[in-house]
Amino acid sequence: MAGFLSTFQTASELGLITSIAVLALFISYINLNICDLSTDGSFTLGASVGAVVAIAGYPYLALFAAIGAGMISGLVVAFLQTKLHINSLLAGIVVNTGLYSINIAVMGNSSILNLNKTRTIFTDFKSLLSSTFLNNYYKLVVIILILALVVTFITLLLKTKFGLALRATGDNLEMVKSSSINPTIITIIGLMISNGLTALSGSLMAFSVKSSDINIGSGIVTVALASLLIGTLFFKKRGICLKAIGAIIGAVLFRFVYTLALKMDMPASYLKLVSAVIVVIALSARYVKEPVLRGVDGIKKLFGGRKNA
Amino acid sequence: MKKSIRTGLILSAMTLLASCGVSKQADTFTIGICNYVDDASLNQICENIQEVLKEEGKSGVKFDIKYQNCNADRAVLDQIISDFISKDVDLMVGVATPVAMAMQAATEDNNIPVVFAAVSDPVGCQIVDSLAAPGGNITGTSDYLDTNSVFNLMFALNENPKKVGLLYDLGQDSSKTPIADAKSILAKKGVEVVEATGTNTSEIIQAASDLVSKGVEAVFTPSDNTVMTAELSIYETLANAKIPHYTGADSFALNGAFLGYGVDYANLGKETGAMVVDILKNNKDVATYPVKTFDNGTATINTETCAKIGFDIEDVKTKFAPYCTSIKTLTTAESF
Repeated sequence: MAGFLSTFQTASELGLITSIAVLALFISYINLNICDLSTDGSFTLGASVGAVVAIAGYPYLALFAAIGAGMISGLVVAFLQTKLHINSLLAGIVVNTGLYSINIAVMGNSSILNLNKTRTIFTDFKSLLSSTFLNNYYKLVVIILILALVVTFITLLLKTKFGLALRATGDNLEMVKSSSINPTIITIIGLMISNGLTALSGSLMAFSVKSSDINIGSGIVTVALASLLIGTLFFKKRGICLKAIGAIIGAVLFRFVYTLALKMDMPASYLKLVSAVIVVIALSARYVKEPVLRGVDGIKKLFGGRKNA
Repeated sequence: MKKSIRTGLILSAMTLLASCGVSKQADTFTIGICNYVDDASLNQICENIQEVLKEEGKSGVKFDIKYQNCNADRAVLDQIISDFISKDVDLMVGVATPVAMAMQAATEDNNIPVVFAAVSDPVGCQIVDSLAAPGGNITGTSDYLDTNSVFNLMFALNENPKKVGLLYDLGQDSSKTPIADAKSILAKKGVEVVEATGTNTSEIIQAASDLVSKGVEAVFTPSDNTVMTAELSIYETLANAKIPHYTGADSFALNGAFLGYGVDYANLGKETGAMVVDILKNNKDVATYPVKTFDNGTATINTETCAKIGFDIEDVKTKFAPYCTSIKTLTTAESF
C-alpha cells in the first residue's frame, strides 16, 4: 500500500514542479494571449543553467541563475515579436530551436549532467527534515513552499496597475493602445516573467530527478497547456489566486492520469495519446457538460439534433 | 439503498487494497526493465535480456517482467520508475545512460539493486565509482567503444587519408569521448578533420551531404543513436560518393553503413540478462560486482555497400584480419 501511495507522491511532485511552468503559461497564454512555444527550450535552459551552477557549489544561486537565464530567453522572444514583428508562434519556435544549441553549450558540450551527489535545495531540506514526520515528504515541502511564493507573486502582480495593463493587452489590444499604455513594454515584461518561471520549473525538475538532460523539457508545452486547460475547468469565474490554484490542480491531475495508466500496465508510448484525449476532453467539457447532465435529450441535441430550445 | 451503496464501496475499497497487497510467490522475482527510446540497438538489448530471463524461468527461478519505454520523456521516466518501485520490483534494469542515472537517483534510499545496460562511460557520468567495484547498488554492462580499433581498420584500407569526416550528434552523451579520441588520433596522423553534426534525421542528412561536398575520404561515427536512426537515409549518399562509413556498432551496417565495428548488442543484452539472474539467484553483492565491458572484436561489413564503393570484399577481409577477432558480412536489412 505504501508503494501504491508513493507513485501518487511522485506524480504530485512532478505535477507540482511542472505546475510552475503551467503558471508561466497562465500569464502568457491566458492573460497575455500569447502562445509561447519557446517553453520547452526555456524549461531545459533552466534545468541546464541550474545544474551547472549547482554543480559549481551554489545550490541557491542556481535557482536565481535559472530564473535570470529564462528571463533573458523571454526577452529575446518578446523582442522578436514586438520589435522585429515576427509572428508570436514563429518567434517561440525559433527561440526554442536556438536554445537547443545553447543548452548543449551551457552543459559543457554534453547532453546530460549527473546531480546525484550535488547539493541542492532538495538535499538541504532532506537533511533538515530527516528526523521529523516530514522525513519522506521533503520534496513536496520544498515545492509547496516555492509554489506558495510563486502564486502570491502572480496574484499580487496581476492586481497591480501593471498587471491590469498586462491582462488588458491580452484582452483588447486596441483599447490598451488608445489608453496610452505601451503594449510593447507590457509584452516584453510579461514574457520575461513567464519564461523566468518556466526556467525555475525546469531547474527544480533537474534537482528533483537529480540529472539534467537535453530532453528534460521536451513536450512540456503540451503538458502545461493540457494542465492549464484541465485547470480552467475549476474556478472558472473566480479570482486570480483561485484560477492559479486551478492551474496547479490541473498539473497534478494530469500526472495522476499518467500514474493510473501505468498502473494498468499501459505501455508508456500511449501516454501521449492519453494526454491528447485529456486536452480534447478539457476543451470540449464546457460544451458537453450541460447536455450530458440533461440526459439522452441533451446528448441528441449536442450531436446535430434540431435546436428547438 | 444507501446502505447497499456503502457496503459496495467498502467491498470495492477492500478488493483494491487486496489487489495491491497480493503476496509474491517466493520463487518469483519481479524485474522492471525500462528502455530509453525506440532504437535498433537498445531494442535488441531489451529483447535479449527478456529472452535470457524467460529461458532461465523454464528451469530455475521465475521472473515476472515489467517492460516500459519512456521514449526520452524525463518526467515519464520518473513515473515509470516510481511505478516499478510501487510494484515491489526486486531489481531494475535501466537501458541507456539517462535511465541508469534516473534509477540511481530513485534507489538512493531504498537500495533496490539496479543493473544497467549500454552505458558508454559509467565512471565518467558518476554512475559507478570504478568498473571493478561499483560501490553502490548499481552495476551493469558498458558498451564502451575502443575508438582506436575502428581507426586501425580505416587506416588498413586507406593508409594515409587527407581528410576524414566525423558525423555525430552533439546531444548524444555516448559520442563525446569517442569523438574526442578520434580527433586526437587523426591529429597525431596529421589528417584534416571535418566535423558535421545534426540533432535529428533531416539535419544528419544535410550534414552527410556537406561531408560529401567537402571531399572527405572516409566518415567515422561512434555508437550515436541519432545517426543510427538516420543511417538508412544517408548510406546511399555516402556510398555513391565512394566514401566508406566507419561506425561504432554493427546495427549501423545492418542499416547500410560500410562497416559496423564494436559491441554486439544482442550479446550485450544476453550478458546483462545473465548478470540479473546471477545477482538475484546467487544473492550477489552489487557493490562489488564489476561492470562488464566487451572485447569489441567483431567487424561487420555490409557487402552491398562495399561493392558500391568499389572495394573488393575479399581484399577488405584480408586487410582487416590483423585488426579484429572476427569478420561478419551482411546486406542491408529490408525490415527490422
